[in-house]
Amino acid sequence: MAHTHSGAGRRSRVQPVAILDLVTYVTFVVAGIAAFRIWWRRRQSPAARWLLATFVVIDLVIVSTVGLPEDAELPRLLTLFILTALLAFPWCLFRFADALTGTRRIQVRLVTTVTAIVVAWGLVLPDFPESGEALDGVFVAYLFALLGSWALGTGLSAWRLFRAGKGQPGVIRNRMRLLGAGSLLLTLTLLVSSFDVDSSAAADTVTTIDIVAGVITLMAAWAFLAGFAPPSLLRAWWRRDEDLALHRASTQLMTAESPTEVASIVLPPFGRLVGADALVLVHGDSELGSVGSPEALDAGPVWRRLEISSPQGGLGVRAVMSATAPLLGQEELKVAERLLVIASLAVDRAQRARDLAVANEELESFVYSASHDLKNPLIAMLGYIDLLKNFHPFEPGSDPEMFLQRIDANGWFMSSLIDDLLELSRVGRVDQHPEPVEMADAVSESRLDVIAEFPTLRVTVDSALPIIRMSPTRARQLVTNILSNAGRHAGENAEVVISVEGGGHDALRVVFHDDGPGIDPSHAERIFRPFERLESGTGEGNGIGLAICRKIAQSLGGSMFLEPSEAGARFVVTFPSELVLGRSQSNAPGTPNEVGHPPGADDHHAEEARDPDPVTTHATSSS
Amino acid sequence: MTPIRQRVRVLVAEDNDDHRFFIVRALSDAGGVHLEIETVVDGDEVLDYLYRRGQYADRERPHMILLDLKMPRRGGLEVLEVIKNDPELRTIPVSILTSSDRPEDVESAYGLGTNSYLLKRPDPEGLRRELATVSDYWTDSAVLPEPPA
Repeated sequence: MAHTHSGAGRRSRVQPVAILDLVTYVTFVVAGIAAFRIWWRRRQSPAARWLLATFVVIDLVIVSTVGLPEDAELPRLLTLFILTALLAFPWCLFRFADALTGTRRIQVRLVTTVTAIVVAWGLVLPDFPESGEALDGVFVAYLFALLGSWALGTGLSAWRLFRAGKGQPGVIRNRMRLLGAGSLLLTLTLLVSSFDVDSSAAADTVTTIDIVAGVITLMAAWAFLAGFAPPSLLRAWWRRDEDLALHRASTQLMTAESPTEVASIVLPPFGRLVGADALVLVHGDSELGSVGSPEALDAGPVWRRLEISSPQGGLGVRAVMSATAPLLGQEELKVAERLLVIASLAVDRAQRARDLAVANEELESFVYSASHDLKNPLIAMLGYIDLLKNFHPFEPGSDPEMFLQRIDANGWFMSSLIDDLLELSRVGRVDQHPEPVEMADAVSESRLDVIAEFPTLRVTVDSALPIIRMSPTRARQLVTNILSNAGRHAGENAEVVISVEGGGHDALRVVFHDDGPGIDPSHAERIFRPFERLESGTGEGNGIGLAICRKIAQSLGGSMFLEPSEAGARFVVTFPSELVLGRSQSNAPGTPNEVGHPPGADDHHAEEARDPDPVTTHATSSS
Repeated sequence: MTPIRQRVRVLVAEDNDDHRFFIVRALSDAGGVHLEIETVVDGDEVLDYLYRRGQYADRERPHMILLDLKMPRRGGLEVLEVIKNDPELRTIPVSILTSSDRPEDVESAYGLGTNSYLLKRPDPEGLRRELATVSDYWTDSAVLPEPPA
């Protein structure tokens, strides 16, 4: 550039140098366009702004001088403009390097001050010497100051860019090196041209120095161009280490056994590829793993934050990239995305494998529990039969009546176990066609089912029960099991209040709240597991009822759980809203009511309790 | 051989009514007057008994415990863990008496410090013989520490 300046309009040029110059100009213009595109993509980044400024300045110089005739005398204003722009160029370049690699205030101040002084000096210079004129001392001093300022800016830039590339991913490192080399070459051009300045007064021909300076400038221009817009072949070459790591990672992903392992495989090469300081692999709402400090993820400027997810969704990476990465490593993100696709498959596979392992474990423990629970009554029966066979009338504690009664009880218990086990396996698998079921009817029927066993259990319906599309048998089974459970554990004269909550777009909740002693929240999950019982004794149910209930709810897409409650046990069954066909308009006479009492026994009560608005009223006292 | 058989107080924890009936019957057949048998029906009751809570406030602590594994509320392993982690209770010998022969159960039980692991014989005669051996061992051969006061 100094070359352009020192030669502009002074000397007749021969073809080779003119061509050299032209190529250099074109290269700088193309590099300028590349810089513009980088800025356009990352407008928030200060480094991108300085980059654009650098090339706007250089291209302005080129545009303003390229059209001029070889020997034209430049007007003073234009000369001043070109000089100022030439000084602004290394300053902008330095600011770009500085913004990219972390500001050093002292350096910025130094370069800015020196540049400003030289620019000011140029403005106050009385006159520029004509071609062939002898140079006075002041002007020579000015020329040296100009060269010094230029060398300071470009030299510092080169040094900073080289330094910043260290430890960065291959592509970024090499691009930074090229930019550093470009700056360095410009400094070199300047040194070479300074010899030219010395000889310019005498010589009127093209010197070797002109050609050398031209070649170096062209190399600088190419270095800049390759730094800003490296061709994909070059990029692939620079990226080979990262690619190898990615390749290794994708092979490892094939055998990853857990989502956490996937994270530990994917994140390091991913980070190396984009030059991330901290990154985290997320799946849905959960973090599978992270590298670096998680706080860093929310610190730093927005333009350094990276969030990409696999195209099919699910898996994503959040990262804070090194300052250089978003500006220079944009294309590498596409490569990173490919890794994410494989990782997402690996996570799915690992999760399925884990689910399968859990299911296997559950099955194993289920088989163990089932055989244990089936063996217990059998052992008891065999034991009593043995006692009967060796019966001695005078042996103390021998009571054949009792033995027979226990055999009978255990036999029936075993039979109920087998029935319920079969039911548990059938729910959701062998179901009749669903039809609209009035929950109110299911409740009435269920009340009759359990009334013989728990004659004192009271059932109160507190709001209009829904109509649900499901199997009527399952509906009855669901309610019967919940009522039996209450009858067994809530004590004599217990009351179960059935109410309805929610609805509309959300799932509908049917709540069964009894007034018994309640269930310790620590057992909230345990009670739904098959064969888990909280009470001892053979008369206490077989531990499958609630498991069946939950499975019925789940087979419909709903759920069942124990809700914490101040008093009594509060079971909640949810039904997906699409299965809810409405609410019973005309509930059984006397809504809210106690259901399942023998017909006629409480007709008077039904009369009293009849209410036009079943949803808001509460149960009257029991009859 | 010590000439005097000691009187041993044994706590039987078993949730199944019938199994408890058979165990108590077999133990009393075998141990006679040397065994004093107490029964509880789940893990919580074992701890109530040992810590003398509620209805067990006035009970003396047992010389040894026969513990079922699968019990409502608190399983045998949980109870075992509590006993063996309590400096006061850990000297009481505990025998697991269960129908589970799962290696995991055996391993966990010994890991938690059970003193022996017995498989419930399914036939009453076998159970009787088994518990006679147990009873002879603890009342005759073994020397037991005084139960913690």
